[in-house]
Formats: sequence, C-alpha cells, structure tokens
Amino acid sequence: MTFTRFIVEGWSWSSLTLIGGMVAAAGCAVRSRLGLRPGYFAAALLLALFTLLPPFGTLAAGVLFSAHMAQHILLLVVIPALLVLSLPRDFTPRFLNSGGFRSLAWVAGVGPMWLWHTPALCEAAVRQPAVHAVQTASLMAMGLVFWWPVLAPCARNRMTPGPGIVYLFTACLACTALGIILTLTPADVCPIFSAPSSVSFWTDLRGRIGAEQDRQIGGLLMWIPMCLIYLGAILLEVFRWLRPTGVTEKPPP
Amino acid sequence: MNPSSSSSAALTPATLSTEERAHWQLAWVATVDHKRIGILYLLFTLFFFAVGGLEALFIRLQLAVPNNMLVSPDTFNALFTMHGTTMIFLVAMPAVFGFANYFIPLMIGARDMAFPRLNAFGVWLIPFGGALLHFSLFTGVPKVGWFGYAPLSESPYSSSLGVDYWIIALLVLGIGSVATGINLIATIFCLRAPGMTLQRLPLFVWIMLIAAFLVILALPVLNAGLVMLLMDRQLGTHFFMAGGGGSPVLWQHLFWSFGHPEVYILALPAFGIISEVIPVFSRKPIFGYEFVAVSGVAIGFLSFGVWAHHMFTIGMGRAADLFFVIASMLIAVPTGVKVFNWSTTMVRGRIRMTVPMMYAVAFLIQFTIGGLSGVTHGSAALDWQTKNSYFLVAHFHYVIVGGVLFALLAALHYWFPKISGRMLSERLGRWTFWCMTLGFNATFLIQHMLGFAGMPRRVYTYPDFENWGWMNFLSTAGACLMGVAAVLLLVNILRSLSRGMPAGPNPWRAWTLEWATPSPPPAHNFEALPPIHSRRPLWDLANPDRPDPVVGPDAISTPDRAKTSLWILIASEAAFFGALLLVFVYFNIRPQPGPSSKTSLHLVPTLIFSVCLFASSFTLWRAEVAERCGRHRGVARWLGLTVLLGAIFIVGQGFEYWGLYRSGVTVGTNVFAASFFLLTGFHGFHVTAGLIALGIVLGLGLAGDYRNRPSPLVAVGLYWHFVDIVWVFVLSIAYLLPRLP
Amino acid sequence: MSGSSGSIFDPASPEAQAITHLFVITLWICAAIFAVVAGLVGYCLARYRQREEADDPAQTAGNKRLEVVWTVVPFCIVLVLFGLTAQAMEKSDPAPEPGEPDLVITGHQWWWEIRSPKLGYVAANEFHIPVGERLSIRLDSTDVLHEFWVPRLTRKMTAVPHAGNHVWLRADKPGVYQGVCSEFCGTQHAWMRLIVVAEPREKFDAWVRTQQQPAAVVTSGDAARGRDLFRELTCVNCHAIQGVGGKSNAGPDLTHLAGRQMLGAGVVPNTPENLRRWLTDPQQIKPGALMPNFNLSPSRRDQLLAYFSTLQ
Repeated sequence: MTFTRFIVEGWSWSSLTLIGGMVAAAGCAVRSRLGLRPGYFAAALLLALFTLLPPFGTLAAGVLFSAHMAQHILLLVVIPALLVLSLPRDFTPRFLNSGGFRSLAWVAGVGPMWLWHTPALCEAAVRQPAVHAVQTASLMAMGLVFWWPVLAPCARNRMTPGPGIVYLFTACLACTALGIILTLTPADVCPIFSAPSSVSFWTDLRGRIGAEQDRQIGGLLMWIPMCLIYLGAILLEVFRWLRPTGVTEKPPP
Repeated sequence: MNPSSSSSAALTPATLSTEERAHWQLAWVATVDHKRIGILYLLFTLFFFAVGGLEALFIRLQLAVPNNMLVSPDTFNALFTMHGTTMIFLVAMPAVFGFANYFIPLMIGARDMAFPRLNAFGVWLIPFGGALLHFSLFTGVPKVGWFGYAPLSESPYSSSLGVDYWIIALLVLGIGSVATGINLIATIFCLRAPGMTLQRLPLFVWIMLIAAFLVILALPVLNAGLVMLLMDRQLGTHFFMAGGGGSPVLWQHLFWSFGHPEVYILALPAFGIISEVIPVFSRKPIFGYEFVAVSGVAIGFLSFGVWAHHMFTIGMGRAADLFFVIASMLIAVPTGVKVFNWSTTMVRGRIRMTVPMMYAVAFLIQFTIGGLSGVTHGSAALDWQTKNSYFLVAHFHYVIVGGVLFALLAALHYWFPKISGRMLSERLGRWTFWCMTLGFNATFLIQHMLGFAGMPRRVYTYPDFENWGWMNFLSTAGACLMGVAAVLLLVNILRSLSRGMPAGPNPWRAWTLEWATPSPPPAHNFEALPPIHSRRPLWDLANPDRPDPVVGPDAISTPDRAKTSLWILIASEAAFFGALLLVFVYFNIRPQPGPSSKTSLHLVPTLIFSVCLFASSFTLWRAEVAERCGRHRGVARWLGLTVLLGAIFIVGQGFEYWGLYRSGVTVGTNVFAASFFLLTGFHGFHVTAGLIALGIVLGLGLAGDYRNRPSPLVAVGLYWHFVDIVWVFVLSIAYLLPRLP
Repeated sequence: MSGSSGSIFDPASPEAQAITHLFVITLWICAAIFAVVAGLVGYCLARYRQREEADDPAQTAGNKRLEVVWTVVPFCIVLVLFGLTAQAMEKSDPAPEPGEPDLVITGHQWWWEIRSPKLGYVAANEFHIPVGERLSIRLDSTDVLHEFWVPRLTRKMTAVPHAGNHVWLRADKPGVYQGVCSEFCGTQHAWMRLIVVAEPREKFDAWVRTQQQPAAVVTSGDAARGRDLFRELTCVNCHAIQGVGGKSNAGPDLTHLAGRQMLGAGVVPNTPENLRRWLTDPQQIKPGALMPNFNLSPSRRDQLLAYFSTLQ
C-alpha cells in the first residue's frame, strides 16, 4: 500500500510534459546526426528523468533536504558530465578554450551550489515551480560549462593535468566547505525542509529520519560523494597523462 | 659519546673538501648543501629515535607485569606522550625529509634544492623544536597523549607549562615542515634535469611530491588548532571548553583533519621507498607505474576526507558515521592496488635477498596486516569495540613501525652506500633484520589479542586478569629484542663508516639518477648526466639493446622558482585561513550569549578601511605594470601608495580593536569575540608581514638595488593580492553574512 | 585479583553480538586477503630467489587487466563490508528513544557515578542490571572526556561534557561484566574501572531496594563516632551519605560503600584491611587520585572504618 503510494504519488501534468520534452530531445538528438555517443546520452537522459520525476523528484521538492541535495548533485555534476562525454569527438567550438573561460567555468561549477542554498532562494525554488525550473536549467547549464575543460571530447580543448587537478581540487574544497558547514553546525539553509510539508504522505518518512539527520545527510552528500566524483576526474586526468604512449611523440618544433 | 658529533666526524673524509676539514664543525653547522642537510636530518632522527625508543622501553618495562610500580602514573603518562610526539614529529617526519633532501635533487638530476638556505632553516628547526619540547622536563612534562585531547589539555586539567611547551614545539616543527614541503615541491617542479619530465619521475619522487602537498595543506590546520589551544591556555578563551560555549569535539576535528593526512605524510614516502627498492632487487621495473602513482594521488586526496573515523565514538550521529565509514574504507582500494603491484613486481624477477630487500618484504607483509586491521577501524561498528584498545595500538604500530620504520630501514640500507661511499655489513644487517622483525612482531602481534581481551591503551598498569600477564610480558620481551636490533644497527653504521667495503657508484645496479655519480656524490652532484628518455635512464644506458619505452616527449617545462614557491605558500596559507574561517562559522552560525557580530562590529568604518585594502591591490597592480614597462619612478610611486593604503587598513583595524576593548569585548569574552580576534588578528598579522615585505622592496628599489637584477615585486605582489582576497572572505563571513535577514 | 576480563569475542548481549558477528566475518575476509598477499610474496621468494648473479629477466611493466581486477574486487569487498557495517551499527546501536534514560552515568576523574533518575538511587563504579532488559543510558562527564566501555555488553561511547551521548546496555546472561574508561583522562586513567552485575529481576529488585535506602542507622560505639567524624571533617565536601550528610558528587557516594566489590574504581578489593590502608593514605594505593592524604589519627581512622563497614 505505502509502496504503491510511494511510486504513484506526486505525478502531475508537468511530469508528463517533462517526459515528453525528454523524448522529443532524444528524438531531435538522434535525427540531427550530431553523432552523439548513445550510451552516455541515454544514461544522461534516464538519470535526468529519475532525478526530476516522482518519487525522487517529489522527495526533493520540499520533503527531504538530503534528496534535494542529491538532486542538485546529479543535476550539476553527474548529468552534465555524462552529456559532455556523449559529445562526438569532432565537436570543438572555438570560443570555449580561453583561460578566461576556464576561470568562469570554475565559478559556474561551484557558484550555483552556494547561490541556490541561500535560504531565500532555496525556499523559493521549493515553493514555486517556475523558480525550480530555472534552478534545474541553470544547474545543468552550469554543470556543462564546468565539465567542458575537463572532459571535452578533443584533447586540444582540455586543460593540461596540472591546472586540471587544481581546477577540480579547488572545486572539491569549495563544496567540502559548504558540506562541513551543513554537517557540523546547526546551520539551517533551507528552513522549509524542517517545517511541516503540504504533502501528507511523506511527512512520516521525514519524521523517521529526523530534520537534524536529514540536514546532516544533505551536507555529507555534498561533502563526500561529490568530492569523490571530482576525485575520480582527477585520477582520470593523472592517469591519462602518465600512460606510456609506447611510441615517441615528436615534440613540436 | 655524542652520536651526532662522532658520526659527522667520521663522515668528514668522505664528504668534506680539504680546506673544510680544518673547521669541520662550521662546515656542518653552516652548510646549505642538500646532501649535508640530508645527513643532518638523519643524524637528528637517529638521536631522537634513541630518545623515543628508550621511552618506549620504559613504557613496556612498566607494563611487563600486572600492578607494576616501576614508574609512577604521571611518569608513565608523560612517557607515552613524549614517545608519541617524538616518534611522529622528531623521528618519522625528519627521517622522511632527510632522505627526500638527500635524494630528490640527485634523482631528478639537480644541483641542489630550490632554496638551500630555507632548507638549512628547516633542518635547524628540528633540534630547536626538540629542545623546546624537552624543555618541558623542567616545567612539568605534558601528560595528555600525542593528540592532546581537550579539555584534558586545557589549563584546569593540565596546569603546568608542559602543554604550552608542547604546543610551541609543535608549532615550530610545523612551520619547519611547511618550509621543507614548499622547498621539496619547488625543487621537483623547477629543477628537473633536461628530459626528466613529470611522467618520468622515479616513483619515490612522485610520491614525495604528493606527500609534500599533504604537508603544506595539513600542517596549517594543526597550527590553527594549536594556536587556539594556546589561546585557551594563556589568554582565557574557551574554544575547546564545553563550559564557555566552546567545543571539545572541535579540537578533535581540527587535530584529526591534520592527523589523518599526517599518517599518509609518513606512509606515502614509505610507499615511495618500497617502489624503488623492490624493483631494483627483483631486477624488473615496477609493475604498473601509472597505477602506483595514481593510487598515490588517490590516497593523498582521500586522506583529507576521512579524519572523522577517529571520532566514531564521539557521537557524531549515524549519518556522519556511515559516510566516514565508506570514505575510510575506500582508502583500502588504492592501498591494495599498491600492495598488489609491489608483489607482482617480484613475479618472474630475479630476486636478490639483500638486507634492503628483506626489509622491503617484511614491510609488505607487516603493512598488509596493519592495513587490514585498519579496515576494521574504518568499519564504525568494529571501531566501537576496538577503538582505544590495545588492538588499536597494535594496528597503528603495524602501520608506523612495521610499515614506515621498516621502509625507512630499507631506505637506510639501500642508500647508505651512496651517502657514505661504503657498504654496510650484510651479515650484521641480517642479524639486525631478524632481531628487529622478530622483536617487532613479538611486541605487537600479541597486542591485538590484548585489545580483544578488553585492555585499554594508555593505562600505566592493569589488573591481573587471565592471560593479560603473559601477553604483556611477551610484548615487553619483544620490545627488548627491538632494542637489541637498534644497537646492532648503530654498530653496523659506525663499523661501516671506518671499515666498510667501498661501494662504488652503483653497487646495486640500480636505475635511477642518484647512482650515476660517485658515492658519496661530489658537491656539485653530477659531472655529466646520462640522457633521459624513459623512467629508468641507467637501465637504458646499461642495456642499449633493449631500452625502456620512451615516455612522452622529452621537452620539459620548469616554472619560475620564486613564483612557484609563492603559489605553494599561498595554498598552505589558504588552508590555514580556511580552517580559521570554518572555525568562525562553526561558532557563530547560531547566536551566542553575549556580544556578536551584529551587536559589536561597526560595518561602515570597516567598509571604508576595506576599500583602502582593495584599492591597494589595484595600486600594486599598477606598480607591477610600471615595472614591466621599466618606469622606475612609477613603480616607487604606486608602491608607496600601496604601502600607505595597507597602513591605513592596519590602523583602521587597530581602531576597531580599541573600540571593542573600550566596550568590554576582549578575546576572553565569548567564543564570538575569541574567533573574531583569532581570524582578524591573523589576517592583520599577514597584512603587516606583507607591508614589511613591500616596504623592503620599496626601500631597495629607491636605493636603486633593482637596476641590474629583477625585483621580487611580482612574487611579493602575489602574496599581497592573496592577503586582500582573504579579506574578501573575512569581510563577508564576519561582517556581512551575520547581517543578512 | 585474578579472573576473566571478558573478551569481545564472548558477547553477552544482542548489541555486542552484532559487532562480534561482523568482526568474525571481517576477520575471515581479512585473513583471505592476507593469505593472497602473503602467498604471492612467499611464492615469489621461493620460486624467483636468485642466489648468484644472473642476467636480468624480461622487463614486463604492467598489465591493465590485472590492475582492473585488483581495483574492482577490493572495491566490491569494501561495498559488502560497508553494507554489513551499516547493518551491524543499526543492530548494536539503534536510535535512542525519547524520554528519560534509565541510567545517567557520569565520568569523573577517576571514577564513575551511576544515577537512576527513575528509581532514584546513586551508585559508584558498580551497578546491577536486570538480565535480558535493555536499559537506555545517558553518558555525561563533569571534567574531561571519558569513555564508557563494557566489552562483552555494548559498544564504547565517549562521555563528553554537556553532550549527553547515548548507549544501550543489556546482558542476556547473569554474570559480572568488567568495564573500563577507555579514553585517556589523566593521571589515574588506568584505575577507572567499572563493574556491571547482571542478575535475575527479583535479585535486581532487591539490590535496588537496598540502594534506595538511606544509610544504615548507627547509634553508639566507634561507628557512631565515625559517622559524626564524617560530618565534622572535610569528608562531606566531596562525598555524600544519604540520610547523614554531604551533597557533593565530587567523590563517590558512600551510602552503600561496604556493599561494593572494589575500592578506588577497581584498584584493590574492598576489604576492611584495604579500606584502612585507603583511609590512611589514598595516595599510596591510587597515586594522583583527587582525594588527598588527610593524616587521620589512627583512632579517628578506625572510627571512620567502623562506620563505613556498616554501610551495606
């Protein structure tokens, strides 16, 4: 009974619109002959659907702060990374390679987490669907911008390992700082999650987890798993760089 | 007999030039040569190893039988505090730095370290810190354990000055370590020989690079915590006293966010040593170079995210416990990768069981045991039983002694011929090895059982429970055997210095660059370097018919020394200020009783002074531009303006402090005031340091000192901009954020 | 004193059992991993050891597939262990229930104070629990950090001043369970032991009834003079005897001193001879303990001793 409700509750027209939109996007992508790598692209779409649709979407929208945080991590870090990975090898827009763009990209990758967790914005995003839509879109867009210098399909567009490691490590530090504050201090960045919710069914789930613990989980999610993702990218960078090429690459004259 | 003077005298003929022999004491004290500094590090290590080892022996003798009264409880508590502190800060770290100092420049084909005088400064801070620590003998030795948990380390419970000396000694040693860390990183980045790209670094160098980064990022956090503890003890703040609004748990967070990376500051160099020794004596390259290097990076990063597994019993809550369980356990994966790579390196090798290889193999086995028992501590549920028991004591000794010390002994036996030009006796070495290994395992294997039987650590004596007596006695007997091994080791070293067989440049037929020069190396290190195209240049030289695969392009880019070191210093300082900022947030996110940011701080004057500080960054930039264009007067003018603006900021802050003092807000008032003065005080201190540096540049510039040589303006400017950026954070967190609705 | 300390592999409660169970599994996994490593190393040493100089072997530099295997397999083991750990944590330390705890155990430098808010008794260093009943315990400290550890019964937990950490305590079998402070807490950390006696409900009730009583009334003789001395000397500044005097909990409550097994939080058995030695000079028995040597005259000491021996 409760499990059924868990699955069923929270669906609305907007969810269906979302599914429609995604299917359309997938169709367009396939038809446009961009040459996307289907595995990554499909994974990104499916993950996006999982993130935004009930039951997870409902949990994130005003019930559990931790789910809300997980949603942000997926939208800002995981899905954009998959999308960038799905790009074809010959996709190399020129304007995306300057140093200036990279520092901007770093801010884009880190800023939204801090910005969207100021109490006023956090509350607005939960209460008003329009703000939430803006939030979702901005997180995804910023995530794409952030990952471009790390995961761009063509090696030419990627950072060299040294700056790449600094780029990712500092991003990890920035989310660690927020994570530590959320976990170890009584900071309540999003008071709406500790207030009684309008969705009755979910409240007892939150009651069982407890507002305090819920917030802690949220902070820990952005502290540890998020950093593990950055760390994974760092290891990838170092590894790619250390692999013996076997054959001598002639240094450029 | 003072071991340091006799050994250095014995080393005289090999390492000193003829004119230096007349005044060899001065040649050692005033040296800036990385090889001599390396030897000094190792001699200090040897001395403090004897001190810490004797302390350990007394600990074990006291525990040999139940209800023993050989030493008093206070003496016992002082012994294990000093033992831990000495072994970590005065033995393990200096030993690592010693080998790194001696061999990193040689391994990368450099003439010296990047900053030889900074290097000398670092090494002399070791005896200075050691003296400070032991000065507490006259004032009451600290009896708080090497991690000095608050509130026991606070003045109500440790009223003698011992803890204060302990704090100051650790601060001194910490500063020295950061200096050495910066030096090592700058050396590896900036002084590599042609062809020695970062992809071709010997693994010891690679892994030391990671460890050096851990040093510069982790020690500042400890320094922040120590300063706070010192303020608690001397200035009446209450950072770590539950009574005054502070938190004893915060001390643990600060200490372990240093303390866990510290474990890897010691373990990573050991990994590096093993990654050099095992291939050489298996006559094969390391298996999976990339994987050993990458797993080192993974360990380095992960080590910063797992400190809370030292705190599973403090009541952090289920969620936090679980997250730290998984993060801690994950470290086992890259560590396991390393162990498998080392083991597999031996497969299909031609293994030569020399003494260094014996130590390396013992390391492999013992470190695996220590690593696996580490996994049981990473699992919170098991930690709930084994923490603070003898099982834990056994675990970390398997890591630090069975792992790190055995690796250091492998390094000593491996590199001693290079340092002294003479071989150690293999026969005596084998005896030492077996005494050490049997002694070590007898001492610590049984302690696992004691932990299972419920014996807590740090007890000066224990009841005569079933089995406890003989198990402790066995452990003590093992410790005595280790003592015998230590004496044999010393005998071997002294004997070899006078009578050892000459080693020749490459006695082990090894492949890294340090073996491409005579033993001991001449002052300038190399006459000529072999060509470097792969990870084992000497292999290529010896086997022209089957050289190693060429790795990447030959071209190397070596950044500017001054700028690199400043960037690293800034990273280190950022870690320090990051800790202070988080402390401020921790204490002020909820209003405290008494004055707060809202009630006591005046925004408008501070904003005005802040604008001055920010403007000074702009004027400094103008000065830099002027310098680039060669306009000397412009430089002086803009630089003068910068100093003036900075001075206005400092004066402004002085006024603010005065106002707070007048309204009764002092550092001891409450945790808001304490954390505010801590944060802004240290920032002010850095601004002042920057002003002095800028003033010196200005003065020298006016005196015309930079007509013929480049000025350090860019490097100093980097520091100044950093200080300004820190103020952006301080301003927003201490002044602006609390005012938000 | 001889006797068993109690091993963590001999658990006597479901809470401790959960941990032991996990421990056994973990040890087997660790043993298997160790066997692989030690076996590999041993095999190499036996098979590839070279006693005389020989040519260098083939220079193999790595194998990507192997690396993937020994990254992924340990990763999976870690995940399994993590799952088991989470399960064991839930079993051995379920979330505390709201409401008043059954016992408040307070760490002092260097003894334990046990208070029952519900049953209204106070004990020191020793207490009884009913077999098979799960008690909720709040830990507190008046000074530094202490750590509550009864290996056979439950997880250890730090007593942090003002934090109010929680543990569950239960014993399935009657018996005497040894406990100890396991966080270093100063000079006499070694002698901050604890005894938990588990017994059937009716015996436990009888024990509680004794504990709830005020001190035995004495009317004459050395014992009565001893009682008066307790009131007149500085004893009451630190110790309390219910119905007689003293309110401080700086030192152990002495109302039922004679009923305890040990003196000085475990340092010596509670015999008249040891109690006399203790009163003569506590520093001889427990150097550094916060109770100084009061230099009592032998007669006063014996009067106090006579009184204390009535405090069953």
